[in-house]
Amino acid sequence: MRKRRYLAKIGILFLSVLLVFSGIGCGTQVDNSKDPIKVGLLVPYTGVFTSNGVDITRGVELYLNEVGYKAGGRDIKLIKEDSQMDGQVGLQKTRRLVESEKINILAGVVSSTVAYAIRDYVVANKVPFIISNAGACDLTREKGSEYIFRVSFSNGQYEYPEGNYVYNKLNVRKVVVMAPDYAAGHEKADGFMAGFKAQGGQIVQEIYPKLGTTDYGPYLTQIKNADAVWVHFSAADSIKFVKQYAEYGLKNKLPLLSSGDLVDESSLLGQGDSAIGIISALHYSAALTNPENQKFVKDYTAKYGEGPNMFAEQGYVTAKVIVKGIEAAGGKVSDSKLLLDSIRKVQFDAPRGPFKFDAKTQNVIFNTYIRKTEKINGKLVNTVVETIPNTADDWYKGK
Amino acid sequence: MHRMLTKYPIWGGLLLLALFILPLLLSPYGLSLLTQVLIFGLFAMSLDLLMGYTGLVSFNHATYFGVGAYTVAILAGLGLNNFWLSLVLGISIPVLLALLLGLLVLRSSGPYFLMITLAFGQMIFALAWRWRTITGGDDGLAGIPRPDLGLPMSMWKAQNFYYLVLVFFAFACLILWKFIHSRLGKAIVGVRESETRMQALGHNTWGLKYLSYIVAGGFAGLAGVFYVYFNGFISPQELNWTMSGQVILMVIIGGAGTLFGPVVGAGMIIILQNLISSHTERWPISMGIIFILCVMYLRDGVVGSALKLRKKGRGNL
Repeated sequence: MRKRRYLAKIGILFLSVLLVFSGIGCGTQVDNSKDPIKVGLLVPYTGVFTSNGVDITRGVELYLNEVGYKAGGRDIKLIKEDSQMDGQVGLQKTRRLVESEKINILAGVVSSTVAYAIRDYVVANKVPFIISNAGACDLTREKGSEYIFRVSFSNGQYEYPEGNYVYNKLNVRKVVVMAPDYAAGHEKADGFMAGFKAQGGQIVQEIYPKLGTTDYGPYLTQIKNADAVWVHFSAADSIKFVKQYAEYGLKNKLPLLSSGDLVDESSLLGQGDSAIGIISALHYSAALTNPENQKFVKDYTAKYGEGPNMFAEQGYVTAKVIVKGIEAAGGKVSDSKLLLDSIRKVQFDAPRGPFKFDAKTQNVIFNTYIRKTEKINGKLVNTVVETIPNTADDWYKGK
Repeated sequence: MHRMLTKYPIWGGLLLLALFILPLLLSPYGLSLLTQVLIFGLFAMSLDLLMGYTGLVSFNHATYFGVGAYTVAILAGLGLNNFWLSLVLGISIPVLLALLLGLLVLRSSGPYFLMITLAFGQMIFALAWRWRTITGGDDGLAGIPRPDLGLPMSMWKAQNFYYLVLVFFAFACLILWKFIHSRLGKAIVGVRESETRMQALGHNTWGLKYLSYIVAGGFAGLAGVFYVYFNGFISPQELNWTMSGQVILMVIIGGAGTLFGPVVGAGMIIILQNLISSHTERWPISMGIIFILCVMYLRDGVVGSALKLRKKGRGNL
């Protein structure tokens, strides 16, 4: 008898655990135009890329505040989820957002792994998905879909024109390429090398250190003689790399060229003077002087106490695309064809300059800015030295 | 013991019935969580065979899980979508790997065993990360379709897929249960209790551990097969030690050496993590507190402690 009662306890325990979640998400979807439009934001709030997730969220919230969380006469409700930078978790969170919260639009995603992981699910469930960062090329090429938009960049999109630029304008002929050994590192390096070689440049050496390397000494000492070194490192890696590059005495010997991530506004503080003189390419710089950016920098700094970076701007643009898209659709988010068409046609002046989508790939077309890191009034900034307008992600087609 | 053998199947049957009916009551999101609980429950049970019954804390159990999953994903990439072929290969390749790695890792025991399994696990992880042409590197492999069983029902439907997992889950439970209560299984438990005594009794203790390691690897592979079908993608993260660590937690929270305890552990961790992390980004600290409480007050895990409580109650009679 006792045994039975005891086993019953286990059974009840197990069932009660199951019951905990059986109650989740029993809401029914009625398309009532008075209901708020739900936007899911999936970014990392824990793990190494937390700061990117936070910056994107701040950008999104800054814009939504500007419009009072309203679009097309309807309220917007932002539902934030932590992707934990893990494909499986990201997918699980997306399921929750779609099935339980019944979101109308999904936005965010920093890591390409997470983007790939949720791609099929999002498309199968017909949820418009605005990518705020993840740069994996195939997301808007082979794996592209009418449901997937990208406001950030495709890996190589600004690195390719940079390759052209350094050959033609800086007269660089031989380059050593260095990037972390993971998918994005390779894609970005490929973009630069393709652009550089297309003009006749020569890649002397390619070095791919492990992602998250703490000591770049062994790699820096193998660098062969060349006209310059092109690198892509981001976040914590970028600070360590730039400092060690200067410490090894390479800063004055070989000019450093890079993707914009290396000298992100959030890394400059840690890099200090060793970052001065780096030439980088990006679709944004906080130092841009167009009125939209001046307003953005002012509002952002006033609200969060620090200046924006590319991620914050991408978040801001993400929100603006969503709001403008909903407005163009007259608030009818349940008409998915209308909504997708409206988003595709969105155009406006963003902090980064003119913003629009490539109608075919639904990837962004932006201005590529060649920037030089300088110290102005004791503050490190990325001054724009050249603007290459209307950069689409189409360089690979010439191959 | 005799009574337990007769009683357990009854309760097991009732639980299975509950698991059978639940999908009809659950929301789609709840169902997807439940499917995940079953898959991870299976994974955790296979580890329990090692941790709880054989006394080997393996830190690379995710390797077999991930290799099983990658096998299916790579086959799907080659256009081979036959479910039975994927199933057989998805189990046998992890088993072959366990045959090989078992020879190497079982040379040590205790903390050294833990370290060497960790080392081999990370090697396989690095291989998946670097071998981009086959594994897709850190982007992983995506777009794996749900299995086609040749039956007139689509596995894309969440309920159908859930029942498929449930059938295999139930079979795995039965086989593992029988295995543990066979003479062989008892001998394996004997090795955990006292390896020297078992040697003195004439048992080939190394062989017993080796067998247990291989069986555990095979079931982990099976869990991996369903995992990749469920998610439709796989990345090296599933081979990483963090995954091994997570499944060890499931076993500990549920109760090592109870077979079904780890399923409860898997359920608790998956559901709590999903619930808490949707409400606060400080979910790791909440999970940490729960784990600490479990270690302090439920040393033998949820199910293990419950079993102990019952034993105590019987002692007082």
